[in-house]
Amino acid sequence: MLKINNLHAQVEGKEILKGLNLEVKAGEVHAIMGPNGAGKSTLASVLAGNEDFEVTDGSVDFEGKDLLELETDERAKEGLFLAFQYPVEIPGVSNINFLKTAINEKREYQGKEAISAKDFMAMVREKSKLVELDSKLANRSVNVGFSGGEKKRNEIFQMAMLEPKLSVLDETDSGLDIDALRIVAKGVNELKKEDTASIVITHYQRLLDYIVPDYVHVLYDGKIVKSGPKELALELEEKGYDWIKEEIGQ
Amino acid sequence: MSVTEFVKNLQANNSAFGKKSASLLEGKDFPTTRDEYWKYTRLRKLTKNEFTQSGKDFSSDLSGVWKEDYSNRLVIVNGKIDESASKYDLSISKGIQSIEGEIKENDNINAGDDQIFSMISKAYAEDALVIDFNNQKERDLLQIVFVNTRNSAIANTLIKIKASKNANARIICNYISEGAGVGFTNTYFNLEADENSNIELVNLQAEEAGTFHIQSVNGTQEKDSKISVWNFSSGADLIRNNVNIRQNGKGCDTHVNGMYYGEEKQHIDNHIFIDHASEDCESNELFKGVMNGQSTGVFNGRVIVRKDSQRINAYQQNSNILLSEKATINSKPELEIYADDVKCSHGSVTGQLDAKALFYLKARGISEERAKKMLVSSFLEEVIETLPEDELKNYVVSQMVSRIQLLDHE
Repeated sequence: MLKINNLHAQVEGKEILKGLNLEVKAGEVHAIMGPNGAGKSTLASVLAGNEDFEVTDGSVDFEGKDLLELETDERAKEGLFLAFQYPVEIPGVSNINFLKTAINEKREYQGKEAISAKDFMAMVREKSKLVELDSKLANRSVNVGFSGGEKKRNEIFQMAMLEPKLSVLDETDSGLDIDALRIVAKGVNELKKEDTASIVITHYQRLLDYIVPDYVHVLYDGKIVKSGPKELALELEEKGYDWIKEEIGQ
Repeated sequence: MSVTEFVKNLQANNSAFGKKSASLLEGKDFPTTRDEYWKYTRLRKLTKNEFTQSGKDFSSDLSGVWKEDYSNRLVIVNGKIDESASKYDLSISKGIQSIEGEIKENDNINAGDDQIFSMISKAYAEDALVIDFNNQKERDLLQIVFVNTRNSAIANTLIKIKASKNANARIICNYISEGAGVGFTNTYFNLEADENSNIELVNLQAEEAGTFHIQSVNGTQEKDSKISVWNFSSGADLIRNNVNIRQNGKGCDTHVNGMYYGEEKQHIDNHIFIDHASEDCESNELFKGVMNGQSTGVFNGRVIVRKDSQRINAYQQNSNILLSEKATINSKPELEIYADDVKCSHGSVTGQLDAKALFYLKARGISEERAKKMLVSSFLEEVIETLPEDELKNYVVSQMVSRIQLLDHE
């Protein structure tokens, strides 16, 4: 589904990603862990097409398409979803209008007819239940006046509504209490299908108690330096990242 | 540039105030950017043209312009009333003579050279309206469509609106243009709000490029009256709105709100002046602008609270979004307070579209164009929301969307 090859990216002239390789297949959940400044969020931003980040080398293949050639909105229409670490507040734009526009633009891109108001509302009810998001919030401006937990649940709600092929969760656990974490994880798990995949970017192991990954990768200094099964996350939690540095000879 | 040169092809009307205005204009020059209230507005692109008084044949189909529930309709073409296209049962007097005694040759309460265009209108207007709103029971609704046929047409119109005690008037003015070449619309309104009356004036300036529009709205308010003016402006090469309201009695309420959108080299200027000449009054101004291309926006909001005008609340807000690096905004609030028991505030903010919000929308699959539209519309929404009734809000958006393409309308 996703094949990242030798990806280099910089922000304001500073190189952050220094030759990152990663392959994600349908049905898989990959966790990317690593210390602060390793490039975790940069990876998420580059995949989504944030223009603050400049790709200087490498390639990203997403379902046979050159992802880096696509505009941000086209990437989303092709089935990529980024759950933001810091969801943006947009006063005056209602959640409902926003999601309906997003869904219909995607449907138009796929050559499908616009969703009916009835089907859309039924979907809103069903999916907001999934993340225990008060359906009243759907009528409010995007993320405005939402608590930290509500914002993150709103991200997963949007993910549920947009039904992406590949979801990238950028530190979705940051700032969440244990109940919110459980709800977010439940949402992600219930959305997991054979033909979808997820990349879970996290600093801590605790999210992985709820979202069990197939693979854990350690991102350090712009590269993936170690990959392993889910147990690797526990080892990282226990020992920190220093032993990785030693292992790779730094 | 001398006014005499500009008006050389025009025939002055034969009213007393017209003759007086024409003589006052003799030897006068147009204001320049050295004049305080024209500092940011160059008139050259308007004054270099030669305009002529033109006929009242027009070809625009007005069926999409009329608001259905407004049974009183007037059509004014190049400054002249088109009787065949108008129908109404309000008390309306027409013709230059009707307004004699209702306006003075020089009654602009804002100091400075703003008077030049009012005086041109008074001297060269070919038609006038005096509209008496005296219905004590229900609100009267009136729609006036102003057509400028271009081809060097100048449209000077004088309109007096009188609301008697307890009367309630809502007036929509649609400004449209047709044809080719330049056209100049120079409208003068005089509003008189008697005790406990309410005048609402909604200006929809939606002319095309190649046209110029200067509008002066001068109003006076008596005890417990309310005047609300909305300026929705986009399309013309140059728009200048002067709104001057003077509160003469206690308990007056004044609202002046506006929205403007500029692209290419358009220039849109709103000069608002509220004169709190009595106590226990309130005024509110909200203007929001979006400037694209190389356009320029100007907002000057002047509020005076006179010495004995205690317990005044005066609020003013101007917010702008610049969509292009070459667009400009000049925003200047002016508060002059001579009383001590007042609450006044003003704010002015100019910024760009929120890049984070734009990225967030795009990351959900919304195209850049659509995302910009959503953000601009939500920014301008606040001004639309100041209009009474949802139906009117929808109507205003439907009329402005052809000029403000970034406005959302389903």
